[in-house]
Amino acid sequence: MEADERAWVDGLRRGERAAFDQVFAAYRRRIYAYLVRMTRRKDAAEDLLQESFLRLAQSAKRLETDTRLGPYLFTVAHRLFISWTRAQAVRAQLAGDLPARETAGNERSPLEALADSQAQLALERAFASLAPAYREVALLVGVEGLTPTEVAEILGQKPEAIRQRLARARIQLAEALGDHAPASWRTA
Amino acid sequence: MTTTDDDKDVLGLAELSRELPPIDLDAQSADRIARRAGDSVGKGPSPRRFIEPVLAAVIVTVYLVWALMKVLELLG
Repeated sequence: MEADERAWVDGLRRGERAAFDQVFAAYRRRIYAYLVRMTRRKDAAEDLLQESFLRLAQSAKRLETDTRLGPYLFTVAHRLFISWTRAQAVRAQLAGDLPARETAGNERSPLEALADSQAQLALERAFASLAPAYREVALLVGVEGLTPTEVAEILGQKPEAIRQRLARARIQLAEALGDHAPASWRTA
Repeated sequence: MTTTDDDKDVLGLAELSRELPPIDLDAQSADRIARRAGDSVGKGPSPRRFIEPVLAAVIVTVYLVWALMKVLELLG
C-alpha cells in the first residue's frame, strides 16, 4: 500500500474532510469511467458515483487501517451497478417492455460520442458488445490494471472464473475488432 | 488455461485500453458530488434509512399478533 493511500485511510478514519477530497480527486475518474462503460448512461453513472463515495464517506470511521481504496471503491461501485441493473429490469417488466437494448444499430451512444477517431469508436463498440460480466472483467483488468485475483475479490468470484471470463472477453473482442485487434491475439 | 494465455489476455487488454477515449465528469458535477458525499464523512448512514424497515417490522408484528389472537379466540 502506498504512503499516500495509507495517509488517506488514516485521515478518513479520523473523519477528515480533506482526506476524503483527496481520495475523491484520485479515484473519481476511474470509478466514473467504469460506471459509464457498465451502465452506458452518464446520468446513471453520476448517480452511482455519488452513492459510491457517499458510502465511503459514511463508512470512513469503520475502515480497516490496511484498506486498499481502489478495490474498496470498485467493490462498492460493482454492487451498486448490480442493484441498478436489477432495478432497471424490474422497471422494464413493470412497463411491459423487454429490457432496453444497450445500443441500437449504428446509432452513436453518448459514450461513443467521446471517441475522436473511427478506431476509438470501433473499440468502444467492441467493449459495449461484450456481455456485462465479460465487459466488467475486461475493464477492471485492462483499463484499471487490476490482477485477476483482485478482480475476483471485487466481484466475489473465484480467480479461475475471472480468468475464464477474461479469455472469453479476449476472443469476443478479437472477433469484433478483426484487424484492429492486438497482434498477439490475431496470431492465436 | 495457461499462464501464457492469461498474460496474452491481460497484455492485449491493456494495449487496447490505452486506445479508449478518456472519460471524466464535468467540473460542476464533480464539485456537487464531492460536496454532497464529503458532508457525510464519518457521520454514518442517515437514521432515515432505518425508519422504513422498522415500520414494516412493526406492522408485520402487529398483524401476526392480531392473527394469533383471532386463532386463539376461535379455539377457545
